[in-house]
Amino acid sequence: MALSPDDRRARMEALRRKFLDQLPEMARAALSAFERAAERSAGPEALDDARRRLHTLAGTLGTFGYLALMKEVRLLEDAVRPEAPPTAPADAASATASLRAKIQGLVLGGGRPDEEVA
Amino acid sequence: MSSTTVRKILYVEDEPNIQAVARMALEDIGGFEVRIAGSGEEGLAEAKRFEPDLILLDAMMPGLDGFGTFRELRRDPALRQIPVVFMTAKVQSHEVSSYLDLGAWAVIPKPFDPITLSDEIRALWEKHHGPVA
Repeated sequence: MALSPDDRRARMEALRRKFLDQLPEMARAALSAFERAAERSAGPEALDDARRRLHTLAGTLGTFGYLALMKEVRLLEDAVRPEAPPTAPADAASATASLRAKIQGLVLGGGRPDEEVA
Repeated sequence: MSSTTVRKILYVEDEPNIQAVARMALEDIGGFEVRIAGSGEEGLAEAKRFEPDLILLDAMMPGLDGFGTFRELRRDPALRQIPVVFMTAKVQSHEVSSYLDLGAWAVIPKPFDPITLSDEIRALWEKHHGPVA
């Protein structure tokens, strides 16, 4: 029936490790999509693709307790809304470089969350 | 589907990692019988097969999104009475109002807390049906 707190933590830790294995590729795809969306020639499909990938990335980070990173990704998601002013490619590159470094640090550091969620 | 207790929950969510956490929260912590659907289209089909007491619906999904799925649920006479709770990060007051105006029971903000999710659902159920026996 109900899990003990120790079992719950162990289950959550296993799910978190699985997510961390996938995180570099998920982040790479989302941040690349953001950079493509910032290009002058980007159409609505590129914006939509970036928004969707960033939304998923932010939501998953938040689910596992990585709240600071979630908020940073949400800022990028907000920046590719149809009503948002365009992001300069240089600013997009700077934002994605910073996030890539933080995500790499998170993965290499074992993925300790900001907030324990189970 | 009109049971007085909430036992069967269908969660419609496209992200596999979030699905896994939700399953743990609802099944292993909450003791519910849970089915997960990975898209709005799959959710509609699963709702017919599983006949859940309640549907948790992610708002932003590729293909048929949460709003579209909700509208289809309400169009189908066999499914229209199943309560729906949206799960979304979009929880500004005007966004929440738009879900409630559609006829959703409630909005649970994402990221959700896996420890308290089941309690939130039981509290919502009691609010609409009275205390769970």
